[in-house]
Amino acid sequence: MTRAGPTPAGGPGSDPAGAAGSAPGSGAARVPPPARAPAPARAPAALRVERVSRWYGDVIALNDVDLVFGPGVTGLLGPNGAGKSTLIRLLVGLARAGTGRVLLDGRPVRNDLESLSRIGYVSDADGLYDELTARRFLADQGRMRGFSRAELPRRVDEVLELVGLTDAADRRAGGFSKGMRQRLKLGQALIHEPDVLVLDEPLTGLDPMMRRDVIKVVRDMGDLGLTVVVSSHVLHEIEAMTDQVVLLRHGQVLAEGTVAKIRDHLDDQPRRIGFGTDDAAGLARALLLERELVLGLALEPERLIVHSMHPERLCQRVQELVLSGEVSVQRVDPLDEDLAAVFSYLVR
Amino acid sequence: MSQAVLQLEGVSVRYGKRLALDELTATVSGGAIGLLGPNGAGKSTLIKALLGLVPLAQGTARVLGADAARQPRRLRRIIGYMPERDAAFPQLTGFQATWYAGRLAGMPDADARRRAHEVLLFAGLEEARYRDVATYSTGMKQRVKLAQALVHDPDLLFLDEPTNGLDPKGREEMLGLIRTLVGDKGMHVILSSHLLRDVEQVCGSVIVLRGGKLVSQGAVDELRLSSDDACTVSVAGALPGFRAACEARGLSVEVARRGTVQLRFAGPVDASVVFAAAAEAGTHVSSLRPLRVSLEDAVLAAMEGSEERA
Amino acid sequence: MVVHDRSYSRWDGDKHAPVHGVSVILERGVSTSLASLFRRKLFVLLLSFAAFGPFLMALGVMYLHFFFSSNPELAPMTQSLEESGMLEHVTPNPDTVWGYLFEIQSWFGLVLCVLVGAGLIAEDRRTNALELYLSRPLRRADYVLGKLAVIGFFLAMVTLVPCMLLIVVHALLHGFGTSEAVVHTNLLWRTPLAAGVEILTASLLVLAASSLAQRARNAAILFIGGLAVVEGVIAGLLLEVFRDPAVQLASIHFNLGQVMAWILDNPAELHPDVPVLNSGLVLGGWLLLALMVILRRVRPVEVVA
Repeated sequence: MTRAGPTPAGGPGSDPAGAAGSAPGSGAARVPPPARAPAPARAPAALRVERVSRWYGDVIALNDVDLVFGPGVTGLLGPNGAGKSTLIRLLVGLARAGTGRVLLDGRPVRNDLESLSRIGYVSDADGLYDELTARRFLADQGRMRGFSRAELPRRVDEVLELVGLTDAADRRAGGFSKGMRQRLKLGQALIHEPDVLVLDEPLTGLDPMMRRDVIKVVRDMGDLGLTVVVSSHVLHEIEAMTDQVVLLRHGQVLAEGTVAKIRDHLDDQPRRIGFGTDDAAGLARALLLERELVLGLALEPERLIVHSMHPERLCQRVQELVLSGEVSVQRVDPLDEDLAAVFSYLVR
Repeated sequence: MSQAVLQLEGVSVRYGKRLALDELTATVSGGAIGLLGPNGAGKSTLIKALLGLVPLAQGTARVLGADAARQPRRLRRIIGYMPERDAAFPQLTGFQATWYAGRLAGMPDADARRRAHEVLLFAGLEEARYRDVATYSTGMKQRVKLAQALVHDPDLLFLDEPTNGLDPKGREEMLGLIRTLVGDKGMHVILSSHLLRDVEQVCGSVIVLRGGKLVSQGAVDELRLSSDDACTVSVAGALPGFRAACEARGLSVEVARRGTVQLRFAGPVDASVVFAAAAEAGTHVSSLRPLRVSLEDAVLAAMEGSEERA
Repeated sequence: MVVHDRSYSRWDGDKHAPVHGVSVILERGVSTSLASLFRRKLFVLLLSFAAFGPFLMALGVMYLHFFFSSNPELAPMTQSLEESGMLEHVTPNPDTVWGYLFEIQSWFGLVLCVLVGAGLIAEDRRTNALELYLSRPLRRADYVLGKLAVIGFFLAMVTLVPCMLLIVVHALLHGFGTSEAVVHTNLLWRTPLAAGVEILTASLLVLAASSLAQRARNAAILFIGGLAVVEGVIAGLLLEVFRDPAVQLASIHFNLGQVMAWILDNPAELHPDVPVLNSGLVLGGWLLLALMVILRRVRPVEVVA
């Protein structure tokens, strides 16, 4: 098996500035942002979960889950016990479905070397060998993935630079901080240039700088066309990585799609919009006449929160009121738009 | 007299040859304080030094008036510590573990029992408190750690990554508990976390460490300066018309993420101008927010340092 | 106030009263150990039977003898009992006490060390409880003493306590007007001392093993294995090779036996060629080593991430 073609990230001569952010020997380096080298986009990979159920004894972990993960980043969310870890294990072939199948471009993932060689996986468990150095560990992984001895050192160096472990490359993994271990795991998942990347809580233990860098790496991988599945509990970080999410609960898919679309589909839930104004009472008076638009009003010192089933028409109306000079509004704040709001409504 | 919660003067801590804290000097007053910094900056070391678990090579550290080096045990009576890693007393139920923790902190048996139940309920462990801690989920383990830190009613609470491993609902609940403690009960809290959103929601001020030194300190509101000449806007219709209308009114327009634009005014933001531009473009404003620097941006700058170390 | 705020309340207790760390750890340690012992009910039943068997038998024989001798009609029974030789075994004197403590009950002590002692520190390491202990107002010494007290308690229950009971019962049954009384009085302070040395030795050694491991099971293996190596291999081998009795100083068991014999004033068990002082020094050395290991493994730095 040969690895041909330029690598998508951190190829030779790309982005030296990012690498300058390393404190010597402490491993507290920033992950340098990968260069947007004109690399060929990846072969689009479709990871299909076909009516999968999985149980452990009486407990059902996944119940008739039917999903497709395509190119780009998809966030996997859900409360604890929703089945995210089980789904992830199934995606990378670590577990078998009770009923249904998991396919990568039509081929089953489980026990299929060709499929598995296209997948990179960062688990939330600790799968590192403490006695090996970072370099050695990645080299072993690379060997197992089929890199020849000639290509190996170059590829290992590339990956080390990509995850910001160049300075700590020859230190034993046992002495690494949690953040460094995470980065090493990320390196191990990327070394073979996978088409699919599955990340289970990849930001655990990382400090804010590295979180930002890893979020960027994930976004960039998605932009390059990789199929990336990221599971995390930190909703605003998922939002920073992608718009596409899958929400699991009790082993079932509760919602999938972009945050905005999911929000739009929650028909029975009125939206809340906060209008920042000095004269909340005045605005309230003006809006009370709009019986169709306004379901409820909440007055606060500096703003008026309006509950409405037709948020866009409401904004239109407010704009008209502002332009006619009747009211003065400095701020328009839809309160239920973000992932956190959608999540808490769905998982109530 | 309001005493400073934390008074550090020239505090240095060594691990072998390495200087984990480097002549750290800071004064922190009350409320909820965020302790931030990259990995290896010395946050855990600082907490451990204040608990008297590592000796100070230099300097003095005073916590609520007590000298950390001279009176470590007295300090530990009035400090509650919630560690980041999993830590539990083996083979005990949630209740027994908390009761035990209370007695180890010097509480009489009956008081420890009573309060153990109280704090476990506060932390949200109702039925589960009678089960062995080994059977707990991550969220429950976090709650028990919080209860153990609260049972002896400390004056100062150290929380090290309290929302680790919690799902979004659990995170909200934990932050809510912390806010209750700070707001209603007047407890001082030092919150060390990598999740700056959490810190933003809970803390009034932050101190930022880097390389064992203090690199930034301040009130959260001050650090998150909102520039009053810029705002983020989204409109219902197509952008190009809106852009043109804004530019015609002398605003500079920059396209940002998710279909929003950043508008910069020559002077302070005037919302009516934005509404007018939208009307002219045949659309309406869906959102209009002042451009606010998030704590993340403000603090990341401090954490990275203006100078890269070669 | 009609509706009470029951969320979080302040405690108005004394935050500066002394902390009785040792007794808290002792109590909790004993409760937890008993709870885990009694989970295996049949086994514990058999064990108790065995551990207290000799005690109960001795008690029985003593009482029977007393009963028979106070009843002139049962003179033949008294005689047969005295002739059977059982009496020698149950009469408290330096030799029998030494035998009871060192040769008989020591085995049950070992079993208790494995069942109770091995997990005392190892389990705390496994669940990272040390971080919780050390962030309380406890001294390191409190922690160690507390743990020693837990295993010490169990060991005392099978060695010192039954032994003292036998001595006291015998004294009560036979009175203090005889030469036996002198023996009794001596034994009353020698026995605790000798048992104390035995208990301290076993406790320190098993706690050292416990502090070196991360799980009770591993600590138990380390403890038994360590003892087997020292006693069987090293001491045994050295004895075979050098054939010099002094070499027995390498054995903890031997040294303990000597020291206890000396304390109990039982010259019969003292080895003619190996001075007790040497035994005492070597034993002391082992105990010091064990203590140093424990102290080193229970440091805040061990816990600092």
